[in-house]
Amino acid sequence: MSASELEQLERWALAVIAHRRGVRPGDAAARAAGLQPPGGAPLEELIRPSAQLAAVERIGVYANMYAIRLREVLEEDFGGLRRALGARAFRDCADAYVEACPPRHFSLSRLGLRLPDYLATRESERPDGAFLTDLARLEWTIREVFHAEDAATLDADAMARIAPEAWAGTVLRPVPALRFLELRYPVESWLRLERGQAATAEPVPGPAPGPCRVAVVRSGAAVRRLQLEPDAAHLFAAILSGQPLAGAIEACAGRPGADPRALAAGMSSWFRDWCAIGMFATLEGKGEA
Amino acid sequence: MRPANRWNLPNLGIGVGLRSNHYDHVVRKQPQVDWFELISENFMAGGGRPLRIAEQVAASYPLVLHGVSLSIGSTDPLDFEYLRRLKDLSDRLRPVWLGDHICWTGVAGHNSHDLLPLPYDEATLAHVVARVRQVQDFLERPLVLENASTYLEFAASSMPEQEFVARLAEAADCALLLDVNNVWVNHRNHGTDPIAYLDAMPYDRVVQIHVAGHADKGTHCIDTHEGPVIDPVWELLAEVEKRAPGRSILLEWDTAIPEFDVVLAEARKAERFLAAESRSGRAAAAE
Repeated sequence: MSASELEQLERWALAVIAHRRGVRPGDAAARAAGLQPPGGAPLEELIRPSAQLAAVERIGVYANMYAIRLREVLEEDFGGLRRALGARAFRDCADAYVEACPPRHFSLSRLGLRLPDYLATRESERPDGAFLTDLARLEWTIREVFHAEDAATLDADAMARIAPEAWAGTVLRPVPALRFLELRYPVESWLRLERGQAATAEPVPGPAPGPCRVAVVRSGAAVRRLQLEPDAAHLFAAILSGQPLAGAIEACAGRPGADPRALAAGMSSWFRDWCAIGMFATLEGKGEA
Repeated sequence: MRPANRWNLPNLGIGVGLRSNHYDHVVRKQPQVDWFELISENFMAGGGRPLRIAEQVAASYPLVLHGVSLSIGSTDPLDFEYLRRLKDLSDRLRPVWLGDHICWTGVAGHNSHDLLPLPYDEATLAHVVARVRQVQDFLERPLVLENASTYLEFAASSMPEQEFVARLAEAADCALLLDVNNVWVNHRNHGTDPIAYLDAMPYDRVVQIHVAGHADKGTHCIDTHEGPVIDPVWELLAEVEKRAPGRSILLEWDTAIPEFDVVLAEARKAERFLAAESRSGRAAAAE
């Protein structure tokens, strides 16, 4: 077998193994797509039978394991989505996703990276499509935060020491393990309720639409999720966009319907809570210690 | 402990694979274990808690990195971004050695996340030898490559697996991790002779042994790394001990993983087989 024949064999074999409808359809589809094995030989001439299994069954062992392994990884990373869809629909969704977005990264932990965007392209296919996208986005964010880099965190005292006149030139930098999501469905409270419930084959209905603003951060070894009220969320988003503190506060206070006194009253406790769970890494600018 | 290989790599004793279920236990309780093996890719995709755990473990135990995505037999170009990350991880954790499997995991950029079988012929051997040499040059250390469990054989193979493995190790000047469970699984799946397999190994290149459980499906065996090690696999370990005493031994348990102490107790069963072999060796010498 030459080097080019080895390449042909590998491309053909992987196309067969990864085909979601089984070995025979996979073999036919691979050949139809131009992935001919060396010499165009039939499957039975490429793979030896064993005493117990035919050639098609032997490569089928790999095909089964491919599908099961990838489904299991997605099920682990998207337990809430699995619950919302039910066992059968989740399996179909996982298989369709893997077919559309086959794994290309060396780490299985990245397998689900494109699932939220994949679901977003298919929202119109189901009445709860937008809920499923939002749920997948939150679950993937939790996963991302778990694996994000560590960083030292800013404590609440450092925040408290910033003189008001320095706010205009002070920027708060978030830790790498922080994400902020603004979603269309209250998936944070739904997930909190449903995750960890006993597995069920049947789908669990999602909630009615409603805004969800949630910060996801790793605090020590644990990933924490904090729902934010509209004013707090607006201020938080402005800070994360890199605005200096004073500009972020002004933008928040200037929003239609904003109550500057409520904002002023809430701010100190928001900043205290945000620092307490390690959302910010550094202060830059005039407020820097 | 006395090294018995051409790189003077030490005998680390009896270790277990570190799995995420046991992170807290290992870090908090610091159990009496000789060494740990870590799956390289679990610590290469980002930082976060897994890497912090790995660093804590590296500070307290000898460890070895064992990869699953090097894809040394693939016809895709070597992934130097992957290798750079592996080297960075190695610089960070300072493993006693690092390795992967004799297999391919993907092609055309598509990673199957499985250890796929190679045809055992001259052209494939030359292809893999050249790649192992490139990887070793890049990593600046020998690779420790493991014989994989397989569920099919390509008709294009022109030599037995053990000949391919032995010739690869010699020609590429790499080290070997001999998985005796995989030898048994392949014996069941392909009807090969496990003793002939062990006889063919170049033991001056074997630095590590794997043992594990597997699933016997009747028509074939799957290398699930689940449950206790069966006696025939322990007996293969004893056969290796006859031929090459003093290799580092590691138990893999990856499916339905029990409490850490259960995994460790299973790994320590190896002592009985090694001790039995040592006793019978002494008795034979006395006769």
